[in-house]
Amino acid sequence: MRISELLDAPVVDPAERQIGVVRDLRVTPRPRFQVTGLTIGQPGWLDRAAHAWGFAEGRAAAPWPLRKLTQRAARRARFAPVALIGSWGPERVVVTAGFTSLQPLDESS
Amino acid sequence: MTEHVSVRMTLLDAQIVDRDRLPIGRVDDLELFFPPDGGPPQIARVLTGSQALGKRIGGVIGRWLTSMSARLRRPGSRAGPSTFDAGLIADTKPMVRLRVQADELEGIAGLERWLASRLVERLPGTGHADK
Repeated sequence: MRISELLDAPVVDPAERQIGVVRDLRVTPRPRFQVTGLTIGQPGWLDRAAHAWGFAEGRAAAPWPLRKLTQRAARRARFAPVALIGSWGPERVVVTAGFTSLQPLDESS
Repeated sequence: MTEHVSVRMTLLDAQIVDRDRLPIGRVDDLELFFPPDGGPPQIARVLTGSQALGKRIGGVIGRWLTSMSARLRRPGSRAGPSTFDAGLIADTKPMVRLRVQADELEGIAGLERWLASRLVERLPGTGHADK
């Protein structure tokens, strides 16, 4: 499976409710590049921009109008550790926990 | 907590250079390997070139890019996008640097190599200054 197939794939909880979409993968540094978890965002272009430009990751802080615009999306971003991923696929990724039990992205790094 | 890095920020779209820092393309996609024992997936291969990028872009433009780059491939060469083992990556900052030379990677940067040997090297003044 390719990373591009996973990005933007819907993420569902055990009750099959969609809790978000895959925005990024976290891996251990080289040489193994083992997946440690998924970054989960919400559908929509603003959320996509928040992740693509690094605001959700906290890597970008300027220009401030973009930071303000993407602030809400960044706050809603969650990290799902690999142990909580029940199944992987381009059609959907199943997380064995509810949205509220996932830790915010800024606390995961 | 385990140290981890973002694939989107660290690898995807990053410039790839060989051991001698010769640019050979960009990371256009990555292939995951799922161990049969159910362990965490790993990045197994790096995909580079317009064929990989076309599939990632999707839509009409993506399909056109994929089909054009597939047609431009040398006859008899392996089908599908150009790939190499992710284990060849020596460093990821500030760019993806490989531990091998570009020549050791079959099918990578084919167009650039073809242009270098057929066109650029024949231009007057492209040799070394001491020659």
